[in-house]
Amino acid sequence: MIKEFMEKDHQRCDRLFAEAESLVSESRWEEGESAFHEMREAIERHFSMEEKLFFPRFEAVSGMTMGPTQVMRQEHEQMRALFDDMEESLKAREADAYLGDSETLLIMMQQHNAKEEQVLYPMLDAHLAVEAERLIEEAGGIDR
Amino acid sequence: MSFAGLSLGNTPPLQVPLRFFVTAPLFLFLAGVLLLTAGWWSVPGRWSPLWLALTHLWVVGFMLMVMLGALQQVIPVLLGSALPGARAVAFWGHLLLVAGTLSLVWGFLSEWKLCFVLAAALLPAAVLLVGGTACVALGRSPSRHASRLSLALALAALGFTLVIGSWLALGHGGLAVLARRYTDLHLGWGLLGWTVLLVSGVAWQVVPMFQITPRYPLVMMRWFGALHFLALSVWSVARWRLDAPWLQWVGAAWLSVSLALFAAITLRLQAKRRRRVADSTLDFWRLSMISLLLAVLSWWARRMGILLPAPLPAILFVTGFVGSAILGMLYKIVPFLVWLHLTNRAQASGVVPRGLPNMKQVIPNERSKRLFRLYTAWLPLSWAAPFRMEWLGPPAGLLLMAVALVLARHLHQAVRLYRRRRRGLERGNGSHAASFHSP
Repeated sequence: MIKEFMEKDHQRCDRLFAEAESLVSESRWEEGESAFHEMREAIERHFSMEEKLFFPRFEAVSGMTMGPTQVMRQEHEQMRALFDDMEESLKAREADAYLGDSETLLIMMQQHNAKEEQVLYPMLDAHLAVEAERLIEEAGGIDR
Repeated sequence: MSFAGLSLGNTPPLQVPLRFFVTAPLFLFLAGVLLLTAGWWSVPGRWSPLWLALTHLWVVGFMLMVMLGALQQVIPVLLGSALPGARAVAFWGHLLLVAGTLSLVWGFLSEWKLCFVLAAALLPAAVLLVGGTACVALGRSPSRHASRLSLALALAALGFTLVIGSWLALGHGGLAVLARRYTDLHLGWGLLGWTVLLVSGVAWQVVPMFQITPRYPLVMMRWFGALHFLALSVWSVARWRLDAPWLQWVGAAWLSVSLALFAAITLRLQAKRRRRVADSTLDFWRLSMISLLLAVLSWWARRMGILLPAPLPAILFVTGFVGSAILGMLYKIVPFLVWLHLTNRAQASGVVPRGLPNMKQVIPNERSKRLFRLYTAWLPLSWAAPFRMEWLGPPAGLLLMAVALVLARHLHQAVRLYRRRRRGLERGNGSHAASFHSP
């Protein structure tokens, strides 16, 4: 159930990603900038749900603190670095640089999501079954 | 659910898949050289040394080379399970595969029996090593994704292809009776089994990923691999065991539907993609799926009595369907891996991974477009060559050599960029554009 909830959120982030990318590729800078910020906001919020809520609970219950959740946190940092590069390109109106970073972000994000959806979220569901409903409700209230 | 062997962070060292990828253009180039000399070979037809050498340069030296390399990357990343002893397996597997391919091809060209015996030992050893380790990793994978079953069935099909292939090679080597009637079985399980199951198993995940398309229908992902494998088994048993032509037709029709369905649904999903920016990988994949449809059509056209050269369906399949898919994947995987390994290295040394070369800086758009144009110019020549080998062989050979050289150059440029930037990171100056320490 955590899996379904988070998968839906991945799909929302994907949609926002595609929107921002296509606006920038058409040099519609102002709309592109606002779409980028909307995407970044959505993904940061997704990261926060994991880093502030699901991962700590999972680590507490499973005792796995240096395992898969740690790897996922590192990948979040890698994606954040790409966001910073993309923001700079947007400010400088450099479409090629933005599109190169966004392509890289897409593949990074997709393989990250695949690992979460296939391996990590089923583990969360297995370990956090009794509190899943409460956690999802709580996750809904997280800003970023 | 078991989480043993879980390795979300364990992307294998870059040299694991890369040594396979960078070797593949060499065999493409050799295939080009052979095509160029096509007119000099006196014996025409399927069993000519030229055809046998050419087909194996393509399917083993190029296709199997890239596919085994990619398999070692895909299983850890998409199915969360690392291959045990990845570095050593890749080193020895690659060495055995290169040596085995060269012996086999030289065997066909020189008819030197020892080469076949060597190939019959080296190639199974290569596949057993890489494929066997891949099986262990698949067995340990905690993922329940349909890709896992598809890849497992693909490996089973590869094993079967190899057993028959080795037997045929021993036949050529004089150590067994040369049973040429089983060649189609070898071909069928290699192309329709291993290749289709691997490409589809990877497609379930990467097609939606790369273009943000809807996912493949769940029922298709769940059943395609098993049903396709069953169809191939029915066709094989009907043809070689039961001698039942009607059942053979059932098997062939079933396989055709399976292939056409895969191609059509992939094209439909891609048409519904959310991502609208131009992308060479998408172009290569569409070319690949259209070629697969053409391969099926041309096979049936021949059965209906239309005069087409016998090897045309197989050529459409290997150059159009498989060759395009492989090139499309290489131009996505290689730049991503270069970026990923640089980023991991920066992060491991405590540097915020900013300003590292992104995918489009590793292989710029113009380069992938150039290769796509060159390859699409070559494809029709490869399809037309069997009609008039003595005329079309030389231009097809030259163009294929050009494709191989351009591909080799692009891969080489990517590796050089990686090495340069890695040295920069090792010297401790982070990245050129921005280097500051994490807070």
